[in-house]
Amino acid sequence: MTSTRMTFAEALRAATIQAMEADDRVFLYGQGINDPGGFLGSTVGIRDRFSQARCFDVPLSEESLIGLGVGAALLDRRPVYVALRIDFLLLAMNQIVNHAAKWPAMSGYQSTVPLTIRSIIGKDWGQGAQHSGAYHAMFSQVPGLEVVMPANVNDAARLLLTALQSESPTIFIESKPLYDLDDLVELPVKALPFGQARVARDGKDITFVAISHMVGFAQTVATDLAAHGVEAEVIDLRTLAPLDEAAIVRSVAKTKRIAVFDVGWQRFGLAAEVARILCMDGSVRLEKPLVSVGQKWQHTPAGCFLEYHHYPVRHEVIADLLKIL
Amino acid sequence: MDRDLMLMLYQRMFRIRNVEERIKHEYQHRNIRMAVHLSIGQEAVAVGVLAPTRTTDCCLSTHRCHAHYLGKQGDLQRMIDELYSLDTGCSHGYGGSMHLFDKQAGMWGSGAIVGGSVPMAVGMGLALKQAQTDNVCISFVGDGGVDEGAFFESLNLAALLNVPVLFIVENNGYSTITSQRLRQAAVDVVAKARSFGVDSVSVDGNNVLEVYETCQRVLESIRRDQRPRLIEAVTFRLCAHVGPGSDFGGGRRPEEELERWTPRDPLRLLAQRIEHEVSEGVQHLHEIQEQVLAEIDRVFETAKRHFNEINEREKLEAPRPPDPSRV
Repeated sequence: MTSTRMTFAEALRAATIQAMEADDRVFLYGQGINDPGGFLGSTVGIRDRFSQARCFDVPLSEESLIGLGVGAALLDRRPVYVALRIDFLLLAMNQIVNHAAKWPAMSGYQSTVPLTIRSIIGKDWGQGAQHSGAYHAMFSQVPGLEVVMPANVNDAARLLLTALQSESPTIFIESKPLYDLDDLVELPVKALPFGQARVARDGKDITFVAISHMVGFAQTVATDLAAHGVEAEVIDLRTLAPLDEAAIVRSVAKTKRIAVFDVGWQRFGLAAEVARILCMDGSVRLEKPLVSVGQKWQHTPAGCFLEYHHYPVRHEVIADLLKIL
Repeated sequence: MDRDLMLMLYQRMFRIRNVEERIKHEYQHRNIRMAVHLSIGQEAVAVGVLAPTRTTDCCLSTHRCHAHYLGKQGDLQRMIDELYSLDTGCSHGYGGSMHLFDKQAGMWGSGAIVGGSVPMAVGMGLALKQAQTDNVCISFVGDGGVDEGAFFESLNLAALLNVPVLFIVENNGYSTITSQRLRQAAVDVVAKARSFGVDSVSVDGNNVLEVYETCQRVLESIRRDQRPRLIEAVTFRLCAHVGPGSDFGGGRRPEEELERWTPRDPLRLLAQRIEHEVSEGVQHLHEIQEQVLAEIDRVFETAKRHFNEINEREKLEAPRPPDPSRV
């Protein structure tokens, strides 16, 4: 076991290579996958290390490309499709929802679809309405899909390895700000089971439930609140489907207060799901209203001044939270 | 023409036809509690295409999949069990009539979103190639599927990636009751496929021998060079798009078309040939018919008995009687 400092992209790349070396059924495909930039660096050199047959460029036919993955996966290959922006997966919803997610069920569970779909949520630098969508809640609504949203470098590598070993179709969602991170990564990468949330920060006064790059945001807010004498507990869900519901209930039972930090919009999303879990569990009586932190209910403006106010602003979030603390 | 081949093809077509006639008959009892899309009139496509395939060739199909499933030698008892909602069904009661699955026979299922299984076939072809076999994926789609963008994306992908896929466009001229000419500005499917670099040919889909011989030859080419091909089989649906009824007249499909196609019924065409060309042909046909009808009786009686046993226990509310004003 060795530890190496890696960027987010390098960690994804390391996990991919490890999986491809262990299992020759794993192959990668996506538009621009073999460009010199190599998917923000995450696929650089993979074709040369393996072969064109295991890492190939494809046309812009999103629906059929996901369908191709479903068919190959049915015959026990391990396809990995990469889409640079999650917005483009909307073109393939028919294959993702009607085929990848449903084929095992429609066959009476006599077939499996071990397909991994990697895609990125764009944020900042003027991505605009069509390059910054956050559709994890939509995917999480569909039985049969696994939805993974790592928050840091190590989890990204470990969860991607799990996705590549999974027998179910998995939507692996990355977020652009995570590509700025680096950390020590233990090699070889160890698979991390889905559905296990992580306590990213211990606290007793309020629970922050967060995903993806909003875990880092929640941790920063927690540090700021500590100066006000408030200790927030930060729960990193890691995966939305399956979802570690018990971890949420356990933490809120202690803190009696909750804020949800979502990458997406605030309606019909993670905050709604967390509220459902707590209401249906019924064992915890919240002392204060739930606070929802996420994108405003509008489409992302491209201009930097409007865009800044579209996403949660730290001091505004802190002001909102102090009202209930 | 080979006597045994003709009799084998007739046996398979007669079996499919009479399984579906029996489904039509049983449907009135309201215990097949799901939509059925019958292939009556189109049997020569399923049988002619699939008879020359191997068990290890993969097949993907459409909502109208009964004939494909049986053509690929899927298990009949398990198919009828599936229609009767039994857990002994080929999809364990989860799939129903539109999602028949028999992995052992190479029947990898069928999709009810028109054109949706075509891209999957490209992936199956890729997997067969990656696994270094010379097996082929057979992808059934109707002329309705040719309306879909994914069909064209798939032709391009298959040709670009050189995968062993045989696209079968089973052209019955209609998507429900909307004719191909109302939906497609250019109706030449073969020309469309060729423009993507996919070798293509059109056959008379009601002549099972022509379908069989073409498909056998094309399959050999695909196994040899691992390149996709397309066969358009022109045929006609003699029953309604969905359900046991008819959709001719009354502003639906023109009755003249039914009159024109009825003499071209694929079973009738082959039976005529056997009667003329095979010694004691009539007697052979009778033997086949008797044997097949006895099998179908057994299969339906078994399924119905199990259905009734479970239904007595579950006590589901009886379905409403069918509305005669609706097809």
